[in-house]
Amino acid sequence: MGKIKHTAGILSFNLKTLPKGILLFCVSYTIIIIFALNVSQTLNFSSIHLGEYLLTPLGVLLFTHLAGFEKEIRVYELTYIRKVPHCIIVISRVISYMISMYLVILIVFGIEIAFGAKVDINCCVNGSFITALYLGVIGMISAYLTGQRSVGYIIPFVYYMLDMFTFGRYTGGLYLFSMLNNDFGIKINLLIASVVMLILFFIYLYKKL
Amino acid sequence: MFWKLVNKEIKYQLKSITFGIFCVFVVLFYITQFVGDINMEEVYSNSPGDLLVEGSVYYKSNLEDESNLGFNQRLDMLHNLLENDTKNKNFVVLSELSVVEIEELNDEQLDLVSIIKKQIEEEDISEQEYHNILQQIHNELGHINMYEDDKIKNLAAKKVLYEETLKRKEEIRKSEKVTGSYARLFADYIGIAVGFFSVFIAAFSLIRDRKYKAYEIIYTKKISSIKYVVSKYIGNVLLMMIVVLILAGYSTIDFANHYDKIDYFAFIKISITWILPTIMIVTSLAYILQVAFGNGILPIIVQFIYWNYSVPFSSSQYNVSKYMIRYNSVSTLSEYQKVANDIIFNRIVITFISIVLLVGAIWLFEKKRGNICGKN
Repeated sequence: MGKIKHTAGILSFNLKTLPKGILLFCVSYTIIIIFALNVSQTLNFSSIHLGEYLLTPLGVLLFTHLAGFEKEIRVYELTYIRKVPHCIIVISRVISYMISMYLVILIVFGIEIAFGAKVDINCCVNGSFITALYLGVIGMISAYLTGQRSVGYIIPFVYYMLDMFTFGRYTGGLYLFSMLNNDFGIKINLLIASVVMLILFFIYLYKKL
Repeated sequence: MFWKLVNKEIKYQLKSITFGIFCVFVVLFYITQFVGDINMEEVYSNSPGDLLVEGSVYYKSNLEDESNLGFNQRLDMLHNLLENDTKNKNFVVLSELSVVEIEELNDEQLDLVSIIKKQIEEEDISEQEYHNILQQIHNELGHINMYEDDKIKNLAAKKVLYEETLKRKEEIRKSEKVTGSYARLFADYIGIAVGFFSVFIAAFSLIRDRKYKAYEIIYTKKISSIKYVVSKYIGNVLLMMIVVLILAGYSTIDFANHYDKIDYFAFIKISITWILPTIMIVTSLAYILQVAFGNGILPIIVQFIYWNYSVPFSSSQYNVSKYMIRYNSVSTLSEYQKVANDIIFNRIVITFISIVLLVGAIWLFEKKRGNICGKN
């Protein structure tokens, strides 16, 4: 019980220290999307397009800064010598952001249903979440390794745009928008790739410090 | 001092990984989209119609519009077929799977085809007679042949399409010197790429100083806010334009290697008039947002939404609310002229808005700077 309380304490403290602006931007982003789709109708997207094209960048926005935050604000000398390993802190952040992101996606599709859209909620929510996670993990790792947050944003977006316009010609089994072709199998590939990248990254963080 | 700062910004960006990735992406996009869409022989080649007259291959596309075909066009097509078959002494047979084969005409068949050809040339044929003739030849030749009204209609439509295509190609060669038409397609694709990715270069330009905790020094420097912000702006825009112009130059050389008479400045002109305003508005928007909110992520989010709004084709494509020009076709000058005024107006307004936003960014920067120095 004490251990759980201790872990929860670390988690809650860590979430407090992370920049709130990004969370605020993500919430604003989803509100703008819902408004643009349902109220002003300036964007003309179907439910699958909404999940595949508009919600997946949430992963990039939420995850990119998670591992390299200390590096960026130059407190890593302190962070790296603390009792709790840095990789545990990053894991806790990743898990909590994953849960938050899943909830945000779920809420958006819930609102879509409320507005009368016909949505395969299981497929749309899980598929969008997996793609968002995959892009987010790529962003997080590239931002950490290069020490530049802008790199962490641009690399996943390069992947995103190329896949959007080449329809997976170059990424094949790791095509981001497979749900548009009613293919959920590729999402499993993306999930496996995300988990593998995360494990390797955590091992790297653990060994490095 | 001003140009030194411009130079400094350019040098900084040239060393940054983000700019490297920007270049790689724009080049990849150019290769996969624009180069993938070019067929260097297309403007000179003779498409389906020629082959159709030779009678050896029948183009299988179904894009032709048969609804406006008159009886005379169908009769003319029948005559073409008869002429072709008489000359070659063979006719086209389609298998069950629509595979095209050529079969020789025997003497009786050849006589019939020749007589009917002469009849069409010399007499006025009514629609009823036309159907009777078709039936007569069809029965005589046997197999699945081309002498059926549906097939004649389709071939006639292909011929119309072919003639229109030839006219378009001629116009593209003469009035547009080929590159004029392709430059618009180039601007469309490159516009999509730089229309979003420019934000990654611009979004962190001014707030980078905050990250490196250098703003106390910069804010108290003698240099005016206008010079400081504009130097960065010019550094960013110039660098991104250089990438676009290199691709435009490369495309010009590529076309010059394939065609005798081209407009050597078409790609450069379109880059400056269509793509530069796009880069300017993205950069200006990123500047004002990052100065106002002290954050580089917000411009990326805003740009992403704006890009998603501007990219899809719609009836209001060249409305000033859309910041990039979509023109995804190799068109003739007359086709382009139908929308030219809207496009020019859009580009002028977007350039003007870019300048207004930049002035806003300078004003905000000056305000924030004033606070730091304790002026206000």
